Amino acid sequence: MDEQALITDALHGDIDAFNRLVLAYQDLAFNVAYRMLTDEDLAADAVQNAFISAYKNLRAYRGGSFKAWVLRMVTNGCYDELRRQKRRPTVPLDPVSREDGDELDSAEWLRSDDPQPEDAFDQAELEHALQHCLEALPADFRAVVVLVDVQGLDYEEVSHSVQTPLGTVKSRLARARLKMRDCLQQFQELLPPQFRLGGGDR
Amino acid sequence: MNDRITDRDIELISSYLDSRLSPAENEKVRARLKSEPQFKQLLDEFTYTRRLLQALPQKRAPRNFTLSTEKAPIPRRAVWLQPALSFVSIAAAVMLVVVFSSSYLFGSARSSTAKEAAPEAAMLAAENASTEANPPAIINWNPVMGMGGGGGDMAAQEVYTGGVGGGGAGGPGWDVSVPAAGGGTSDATEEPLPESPVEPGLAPAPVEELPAEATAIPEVAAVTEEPPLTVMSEPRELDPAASNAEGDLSSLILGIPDEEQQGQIMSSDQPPVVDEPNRPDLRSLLLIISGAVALLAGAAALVLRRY
Repeated sequence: MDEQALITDALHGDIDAFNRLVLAYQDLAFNVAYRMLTDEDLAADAVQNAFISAYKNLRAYRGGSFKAWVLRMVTNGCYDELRRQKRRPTVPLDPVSREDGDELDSAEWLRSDDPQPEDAFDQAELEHALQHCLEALPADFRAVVVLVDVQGLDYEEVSHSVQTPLGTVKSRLARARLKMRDCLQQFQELLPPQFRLGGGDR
Repeated sequence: MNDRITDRDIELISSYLDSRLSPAENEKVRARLKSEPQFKQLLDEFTYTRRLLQALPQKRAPRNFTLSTEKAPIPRRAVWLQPALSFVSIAAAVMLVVVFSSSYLFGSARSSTAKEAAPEAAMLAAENASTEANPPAIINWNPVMGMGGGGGDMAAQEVYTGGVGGGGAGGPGWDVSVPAAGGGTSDATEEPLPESPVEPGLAPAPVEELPAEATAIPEVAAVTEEPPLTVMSEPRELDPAASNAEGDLSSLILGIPDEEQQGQIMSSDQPPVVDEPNRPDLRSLLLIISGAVALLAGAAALVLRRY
């Protein structure tokens, strides 16, 4: 895929050329948005708005990584949505114990009761734990750790995506990893053995 | 975490994990990893955390996010329009600055020259005033009843050539040919005026020509249509007695101007001032136009850039 040629065609009004770029990056964009927002519908809306915004502002694209430029739209949309949620908080869906009505402090509720195959169960446990810890991160830290560790972008692309200097990206990433480590330690017993710290496949 | 692990150490380990350190920093980290178990433990934990995050499953997009023309209807616009508007805006702004600054500089220079010349002109005028006799002004009343005529004796209005404000019980007035019987007095002329201060040739003497019925009805509308008060200071009309009182308001001489001079304000020292029509200055026009163009073009360029 000649990315630059597609961008040039899209700049001349060829929406099909732009849609080829959309198809190339929509999974990445959706995963970033989902990890940021933890909600598929909100993530889908954020991605759709990001692509519309990208198309409208395509003239503002000044070269460089188009992937990072698109992800910048996505992360900005996610920040907007998170700010909106902060302004209008919703009732959390955390489970409440039936006996005393108190919220459960432990991560026991993360365990799914659905009968699943072993692998899927392990994977689900891991994902629940990770998503829970990601949600606990500040949005700025979350964006960096999702882009670097989950999506595998390099520091420069992340710096462009979150519009932050490279040094700040490094600092945020280190702190985010530290927080993730602290958070995941409480899930050690819940995680499958191969995913525990000091487990078999380390 | 051990107390020896600082924030800088955390960043070092994180960057080391991603191979983002310089060779020298890599060597330092490796040396510390061998000598400091806490350092090594933190690296292991970071490696583990990153491995877990990388193990997160990648989701497929629930649908295609491709755009249709309805979703993103971008109106096609000329590519050159936005830069052209930007250029026009900048050029107009530059022109605005140039015109404004030139107007300010030259205008201030001109005004300062005028200010410097003003005292000299005042001194010259004072000298002229001291050497020449300052003739009293002659106030010529229009051959109709003035503003204050309403309160005058109506019988005397037949011979009035003017009326001075005052009105009320008796408008101050004076006659030219026949002494008025009206009881009003003028503030400007406390003393009775000479009976014939105006030579017959200078005044049109319209009194005798006025029909009785025209002067007998003091129509206000008709009065306002007449020429206003005329002030003249021509020395040729001076009464010798009146010229003795220089600069005294009481020495004002009232007379009737010629028909051509009615409605004019004249001075003996300076030529009559002719009011020029209030034409807009070229610089002001340029300022207004360039400012408006700069604003409009800039706003249009911003709008085009945004949408």
